[in-house]
Amino acid sequence: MSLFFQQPWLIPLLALAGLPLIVHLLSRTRPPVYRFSNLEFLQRVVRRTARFRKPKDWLLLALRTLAIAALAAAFLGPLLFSKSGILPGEKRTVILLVDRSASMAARDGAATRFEAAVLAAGEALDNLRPDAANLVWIDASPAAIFPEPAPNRTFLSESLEQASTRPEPGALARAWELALRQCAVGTGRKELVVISDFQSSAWKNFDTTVPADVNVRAISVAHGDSANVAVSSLVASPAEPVAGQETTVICRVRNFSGEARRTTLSLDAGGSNQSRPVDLPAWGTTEAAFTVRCPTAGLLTLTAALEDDAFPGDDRCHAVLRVRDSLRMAVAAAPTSPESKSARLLADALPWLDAIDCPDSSNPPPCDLLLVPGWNGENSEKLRALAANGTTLILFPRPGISAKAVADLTGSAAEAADGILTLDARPEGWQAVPVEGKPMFALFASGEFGNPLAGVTRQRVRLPASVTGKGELLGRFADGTPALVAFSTASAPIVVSNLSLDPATSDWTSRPTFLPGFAELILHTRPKATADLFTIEPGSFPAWSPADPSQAATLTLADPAGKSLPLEQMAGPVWHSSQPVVPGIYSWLISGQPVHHSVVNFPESESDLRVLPELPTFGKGDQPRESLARAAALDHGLPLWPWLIALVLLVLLIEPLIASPSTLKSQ
Amino acid sequence: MAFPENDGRLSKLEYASFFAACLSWLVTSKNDRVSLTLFDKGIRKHLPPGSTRRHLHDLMTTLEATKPGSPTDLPDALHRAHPLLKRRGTLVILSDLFTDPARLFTALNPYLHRGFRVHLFHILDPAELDLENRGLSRFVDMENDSRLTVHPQALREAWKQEILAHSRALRALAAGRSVDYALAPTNESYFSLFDRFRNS
Repeated sequence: MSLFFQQPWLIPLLALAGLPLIVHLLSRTRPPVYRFSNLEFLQRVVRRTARFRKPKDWLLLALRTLAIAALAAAFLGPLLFSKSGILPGEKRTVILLVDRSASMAARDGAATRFEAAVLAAGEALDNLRPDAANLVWIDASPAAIFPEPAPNRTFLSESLEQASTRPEPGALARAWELALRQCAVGTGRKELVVISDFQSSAWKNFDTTVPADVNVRAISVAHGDSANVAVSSLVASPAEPVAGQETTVICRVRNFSGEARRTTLSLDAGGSNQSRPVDLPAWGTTEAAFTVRCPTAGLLTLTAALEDDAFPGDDRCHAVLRVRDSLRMAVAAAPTSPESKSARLLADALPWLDAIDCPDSSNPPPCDLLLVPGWNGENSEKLRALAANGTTLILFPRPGISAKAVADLTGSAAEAADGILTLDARPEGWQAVPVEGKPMFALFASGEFGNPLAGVTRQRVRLPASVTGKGELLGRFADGTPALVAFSTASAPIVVSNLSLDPATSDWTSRPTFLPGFAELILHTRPKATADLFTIEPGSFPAWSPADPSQAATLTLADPAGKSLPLEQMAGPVWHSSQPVVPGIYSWLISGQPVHHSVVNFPESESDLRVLPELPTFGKGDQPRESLARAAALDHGLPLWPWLIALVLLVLLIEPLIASPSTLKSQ
Repeated sequence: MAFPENDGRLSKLEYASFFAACLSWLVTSKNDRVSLTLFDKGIRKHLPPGSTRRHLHDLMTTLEATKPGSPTDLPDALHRAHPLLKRRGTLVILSDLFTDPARLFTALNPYLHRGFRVHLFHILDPAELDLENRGLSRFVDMENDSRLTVHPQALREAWKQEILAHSRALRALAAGRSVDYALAPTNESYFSLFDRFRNS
């Protein structure tokens, strides 16, 4: 703070402050004589009241001195400036950095945080009266209104009034960088006004250091933490079911408040609705599972929704399921081999399974399942990469291959596997049974449908226990030797089978339970998750390329309400929307028929409405945390004369009370 | 008793003198005898009891000529005047009574034992009852010239409490000894004081 006098030549007036003291001293030295009848009583009274009276005299003197000094100072025209106040003739550039990310839609009382931010931004423009200003939005794609700071404050005000929140996360770092660039090209005093809710998840670890020549004012528009409940994710398992198959949809619901909540969660799966109540612990997460039957092949839209709360943007979550009409099963064996014939018989019996030839197991055609009968131990790494990319492998190792190859394939510790796999043969064979509790054989758990692994296996390989011990045992022979072992990867599992598809070594394939048992095995070893081809970020521009470029003539994009959005063609056959998207399901239509969907979900990071307990600091340019109006007033010089006159009046009011309280009391 | 000086109002001494003169006239008009003793720190003038017109004339001349004198000591004056009054009668004391009440009534005891009826008139100027609302002043004692610079406004309330307490103390002691006590502000007519005699 600094003080400036408009009339400095009147400073000698301040000497008048000594007047009461002079009068006080003079009146003490030459008071008028008053002859009184008796001083004995008076002295007694004086002695009794002296300790009260003397301080009162000094208080009176101080008050009178203060009144005279304040009156004299009022004539000097004092102005109070803040340390950042602009000097006369100095230009000022103000950059408004306003948050309009999704969390700004939260309602604190009567207004949303964004409405409060717009008011604060308008107030900043009005009070700071910059020579040049610009507005930078904090959203997914930060942008400035002007290319560089400009004097047109009216346009900025109109832009503020027309703006609304975006259901997208704020790219804070990019917005901050853009705002600092705008400050850098500004002239004169540079000020950055940051208006945000200072959401903790976004600002907590953000480096807010600014250059020394930039002054930063932070204005928080949030009034504490707001309670919120959100659907945070929607996951289907299997992610790509086959027509007629059931899939489990798991909805994860999060409670962003310190109180336990109970709400109702509903799931819309292609027009079929289910709902159930969910109990949410404080600051906790709950998962609710819905079973959805996928009757036909195609795209199935899923929407999970909660009852609307004060922050409804994140009460819905969307997903799209691709329901497959068939699975492709590649058989890495000669078409005339017995294993290949068994596989083709299987595919012929199952309408949702197609068998294709695969002459080279290391380079199979696109498929969902790869059968490798008589695996020779080669291409372990390639096969494992295939599984990691979503192709389920069922391998039948042949005798004589190294245990290390199996260990490499299954991801077991290679050093623990030594030697080669030897053949174990017995004329009477071995019977295999599934391991209890495995979901893939749950259908047979009651025994009503028989044993899915029934059959006599007369030849098998001795799998090293150090390898099979690392996998999940699905079936075993009567003597405990593993018959089916599954090894998980990043995506689809690798199943090592000691049950041969060759009728010469095992009659498993000829048993009636083989077909349903193998079908269950295929369906339950599908990858749990696949690459999400539908979800895009809020605020982005959905794009899609039709398989047949000639179909582009009838290509349209419908928003969640069914309204067509304008499309633009990018380089090549890719089309995209010219408008950023908000949460919902967008449908790509060819001749009015949906062929693809783009799913936009509310950003999970924006659901946590907790704010920073204290505003961040901005280094050397940090400005005091005071109201913008007051700060602006101080910047332009706050006239103090009304306050001084008020002080004089106050002293004049108090002085009689102290000087003669008895007089007032008698009145 | 000269207070107030040069103020246009009756001083306490004048007020007391007028009252004493009227009372003397009334007494002599009934052929009773009246005596007068003027005092300050001692007996300044004593006129023995008499009832003639000549005596009344001397008494009034004495009252008219009297001037305020030295500091007052009423108990000592009463002690000294006691032998001068040979017969019992009515003792009327006109004074501002700026003295210790206990000492005063100790000095009155011999008179009360001899059967005197005692009337105590406490004569005060209004400015003594309620300190005048004036600024900072140097108070000078009219009897001994001692000085004190004070702000009367600051002392006013405490002064009124002090005078009131003093008057109450006198009234309480007087009531205990069947002495008639009356506060006589000089702004009130002294004619009302004669009622004290009619009722006694």
